[in-house]
Amino acid sequence: MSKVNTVRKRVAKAAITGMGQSTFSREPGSSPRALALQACIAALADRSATVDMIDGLLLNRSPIEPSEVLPLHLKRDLGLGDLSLLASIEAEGSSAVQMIQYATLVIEAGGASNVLCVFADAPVRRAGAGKTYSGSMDLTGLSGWDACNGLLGSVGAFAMSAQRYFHVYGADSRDLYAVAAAERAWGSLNEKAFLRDPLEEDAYFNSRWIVEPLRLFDCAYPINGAIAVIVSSLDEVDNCPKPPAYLHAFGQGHSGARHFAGHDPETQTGAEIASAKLLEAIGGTPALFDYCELYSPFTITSFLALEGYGLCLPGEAPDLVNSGATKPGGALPVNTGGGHLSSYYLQGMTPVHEAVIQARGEGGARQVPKNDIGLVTGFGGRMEYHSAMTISPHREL
Amino acid sequence: MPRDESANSIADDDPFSGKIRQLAETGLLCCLQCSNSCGIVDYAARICPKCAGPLEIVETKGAGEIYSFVVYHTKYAPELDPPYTTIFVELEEGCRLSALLEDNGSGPPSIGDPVKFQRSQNGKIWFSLN
Repeated sequence: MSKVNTVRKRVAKAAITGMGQSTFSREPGSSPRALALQACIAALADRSATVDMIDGLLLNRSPIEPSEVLPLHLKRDLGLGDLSLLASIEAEGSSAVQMIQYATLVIEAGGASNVLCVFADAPVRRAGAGKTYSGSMDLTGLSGWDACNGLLGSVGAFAMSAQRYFHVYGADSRDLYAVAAAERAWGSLNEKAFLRDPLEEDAYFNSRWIVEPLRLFDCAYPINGAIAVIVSSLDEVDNCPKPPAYLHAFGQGHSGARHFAGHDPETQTGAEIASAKLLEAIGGTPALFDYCELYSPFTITSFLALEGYGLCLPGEAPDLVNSGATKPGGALPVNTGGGHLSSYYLQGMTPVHEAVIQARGEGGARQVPKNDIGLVTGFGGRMEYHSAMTISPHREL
Repeated sequence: MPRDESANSIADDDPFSGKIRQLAETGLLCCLQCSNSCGIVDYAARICPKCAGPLEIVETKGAGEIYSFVVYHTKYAPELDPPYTTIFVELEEGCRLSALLEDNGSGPPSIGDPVKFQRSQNGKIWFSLN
């Protein structure tokens, strides 16, 4: 992909100066609150920070969990003192990037200096993680209607999108396999990825249908865990032990498309709106991005995100992925830790976590060759709700 | 990711969902339209997107085409044994809804196939291929 340098000199708005994670596990038992505590302590250690440096705390729990699993009382668990920012952010899978955006906005306005942002979830229970995600996504818009007609679970809702995508653009399961294989190739290089063996074509096609046309290996790999980051003002970055990951631009987009003739919310998502906002903020084109960390819990969502964020034209994402561009060694590395499919599914924090690793240059065997500007995305619902940001090792772009 | 809505529940504050389901059980598949003649709206709307006026329930022809479809191979719904086919129907009136497709033994359908409302029972909405 050729690069068009349309960037004006831009100073970052804030930086991620610390990051920590809890234990990651497929075993039931841990609670989001306990995992969040672990991740926050790890983030403080990563930053060499003491709790008295933290003046803001933002929380994000899974949208399908009640508020008590990650309460504002986490502030007390951490022994934090007086804060000037405290909130729980709830915008489904777009929340992680939104937390970082709101932290940045408050920091820019002088309202805080070091804001701890944490996501924690424990979807793996005795009944299995699939059961956790078996609720209705209410596509029709009539209470209880979809559940009665068996349209349950996020897999079913995204299978509807995949079928529609196949129809509109002529793609098929081989294209979905290309996504799963590319992300697995990245996962193979990530020692923290849960699925690391190369994904052979037979293994993919022999994996069981969950909701046709989506198979087991089209779906995210849920774990129990938490990730925290510290978003800091530029005045706070000088004495960080780790290289700061600078934040220059954000964009949200929440699609108003309806389930009505003339609209196609299955293939036209809030990503297009978020992308326009982000590019307006950074003053460039999608060719700016050296690599992408996409919120993509299903193979089909990688196509929709690549197209929605303008990395290729509508319908061309299968060609882009089949060309090898998104896998290790390719021109546009995507989901370089293995993504939701092969590394671990911690909603919006999976892409944020990997982006910070890449921006710091700590990717090891999977470090991207060029990390000047990374694209980080998050989405919720069936891709209605989007948030995106840039990440860079450079204070000025 | 998904909201956790308990299956089959109808919110008390939803003036249309329960009524539309009741009418479907009597053989009338209905949709929503603007009371000020702006036309049919989507099922999720609770005011007219054009004039913000109130909506009313109106009967449809019960005919449309398959907008998308999926085949469940995993047990999700207590009352439905896989495999079953759930379709998203675009009615001639323009609005879209989920429904179950009657199995006519001819294999999976295609997007664009014409379908017709057959019946409703216990909240399930059955369509068949024409």
